[in-house]
Amino acid sequence: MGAVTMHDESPGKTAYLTRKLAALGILLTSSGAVYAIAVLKNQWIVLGLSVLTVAAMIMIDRRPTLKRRIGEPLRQERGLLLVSATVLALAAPLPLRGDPYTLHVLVMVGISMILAIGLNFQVGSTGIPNLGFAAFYGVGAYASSLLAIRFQLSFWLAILLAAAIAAFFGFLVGVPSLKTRTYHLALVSIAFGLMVYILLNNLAFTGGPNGVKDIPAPFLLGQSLFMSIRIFGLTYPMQLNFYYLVAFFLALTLAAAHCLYHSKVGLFWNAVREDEVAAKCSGINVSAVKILAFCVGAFFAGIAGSLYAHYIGYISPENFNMNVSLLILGMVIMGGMDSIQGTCAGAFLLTIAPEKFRALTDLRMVAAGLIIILMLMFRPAGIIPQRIREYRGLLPLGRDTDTDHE
Amino acid sequence: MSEPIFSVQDLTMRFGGLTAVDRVSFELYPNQILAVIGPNGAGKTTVFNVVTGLYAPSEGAIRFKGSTINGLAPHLIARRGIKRTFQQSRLFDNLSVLDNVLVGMAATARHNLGKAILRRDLLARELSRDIEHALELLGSFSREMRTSHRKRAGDLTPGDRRKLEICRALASDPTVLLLDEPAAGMDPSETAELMEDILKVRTLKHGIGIILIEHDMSVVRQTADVVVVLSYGKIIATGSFANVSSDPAVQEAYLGTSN
Repeated sequence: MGAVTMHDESPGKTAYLTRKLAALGILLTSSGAVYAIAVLKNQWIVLGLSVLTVAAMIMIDRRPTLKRRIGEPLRQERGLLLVSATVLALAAPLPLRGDPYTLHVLVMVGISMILAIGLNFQVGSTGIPNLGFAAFYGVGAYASSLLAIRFQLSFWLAILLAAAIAAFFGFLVGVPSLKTRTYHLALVSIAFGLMVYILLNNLAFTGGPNGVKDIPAPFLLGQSLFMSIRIFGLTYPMQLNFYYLVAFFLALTLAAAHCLYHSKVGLFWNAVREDEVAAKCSGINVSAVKILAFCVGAFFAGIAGSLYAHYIGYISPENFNMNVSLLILGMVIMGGMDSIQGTCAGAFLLTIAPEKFRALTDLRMVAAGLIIILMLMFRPAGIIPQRIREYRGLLPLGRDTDTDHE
Repeated sequence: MSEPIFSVQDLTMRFGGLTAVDRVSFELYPNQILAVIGPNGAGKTTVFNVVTGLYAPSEGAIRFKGSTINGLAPHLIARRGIKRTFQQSRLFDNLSVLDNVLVGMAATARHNLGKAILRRDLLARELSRDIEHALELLGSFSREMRTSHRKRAGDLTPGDRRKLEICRALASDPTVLLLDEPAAGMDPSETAELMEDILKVRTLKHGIGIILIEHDMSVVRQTADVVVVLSYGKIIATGSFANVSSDPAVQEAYLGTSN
């Protein structure tokens, strides 16, 4: 056993170090590009950088040797990358002390990522077309705010309950949806989205079109997150608090998504997406698996909704209308169906783009639409497409198994 | 002979005014290969769809290992040990070859969301055992498929698609395997390989019963122990291939005239 391990670790110390440095270099380059896109103000520079980044990614993807060269250190240095990415994410907002607007945009990016990952469980993994996802987002936001206002629940309890309530709504939509498929299912989801929107607009306890205001701030260690914080004698805007709050929940969401994707549940979701009849005849309880996708997706939408409500402090039905549903769907499709990284990339771009191009006013929605159309024409699988599952470390070390990695 | 593992009695399936399957009865014994033949539209695939739970039978009983399984949901029937392939192969095209086989183990999987998140070590051990089993199964049908188990199932050749479908069905060690026209669209050399594969299933999974729908008579002649001939939903003959093929009623059903 020991001898085998020794043999596996044969590459010399230099190769080992080069690989580590390469992985770090790739991480720094890509996060540098992302950071510049997020922070820079000149919209043309931002546009140029975004186009360059996406073009570079597509170019790399089309060259198998280059792709392998870049992919190899990234795959082998997962631990190192995870630690450095965490450090970068924690440090990223610190230089933005005088720029609360960019911090705000980053908070919204985080919320969008949670939403997009939630929808991805349904649309990407399981193949359930959902055009009313904003309804779950709204249910979470309203549930959390009303619980906090009416019952003086703390934010931490409210967000959990809101997520559970949203998941229950997911179940409610999931059951009738089992009877329908494709276009019909898409219609059911639109109808559900509209129903929630109309109810929010007309019910007395949701405040009707006026929405809910004065949503209390989350408290952490007796400190309101609406208050500015001081770090090393410097005062930071309150958006920084929410940056870290959202980052915390995003990290939990990413971890859950990763575990689900690599579990049997993730595999069964994919099987149902690929062929329902074959999945049934393989022994998969298709109904249960689909309802689970509805509930899990809605659960994360509920988390996102609660975060949004307690961050902005005011919600109205307009925050959860059809446009929002379509935008989230756009993030998943553009980023890459069933790919966690892709979904996050899509959420990032589609949240940043409208903010950066505010000068274009109404034209920016046209521009966003155009970008999606172009993407789908030239890269229908999304920016970072789904990859074949790899069972690293789980494959037997047989001579006849294809182990071009390791 | 031992007890049948699987039987249908007076199975009838009506769609509106059309009786697609009309009082069909047969029995399947362990280690037996039973072929269902008949002209197009005779109701062969309908029998499979009823047996696997995709349609609920209008009348009749389906018995498996001593209990009646009519009306059970398809996934429950699959979990009890009846697996099938499809006439137009239905693989999970965007998943890898290995993943297709792993899904096939769903019937035996004890999947549990809590364990998926909390006890990943247990799961990893289980998964690595499943993977080993899956690769072994793939290897016994095609060395090359075992080697390239990372390939997208959608990129396989028609012959390999068939093999993979059989592997996926066998992954959960079923008691009964239903093969729906496995030789459809294959050239003679692929068909010869397929015949070997069918016979291999029997040596690989001792005691398994196979029901085979097939148009290619050479396959039926060389593999089937018993042949059931369907025409317009009814059984018109049952017996060995030699007996059935000399039956005038069968010749008439196939050729339109008895020669």
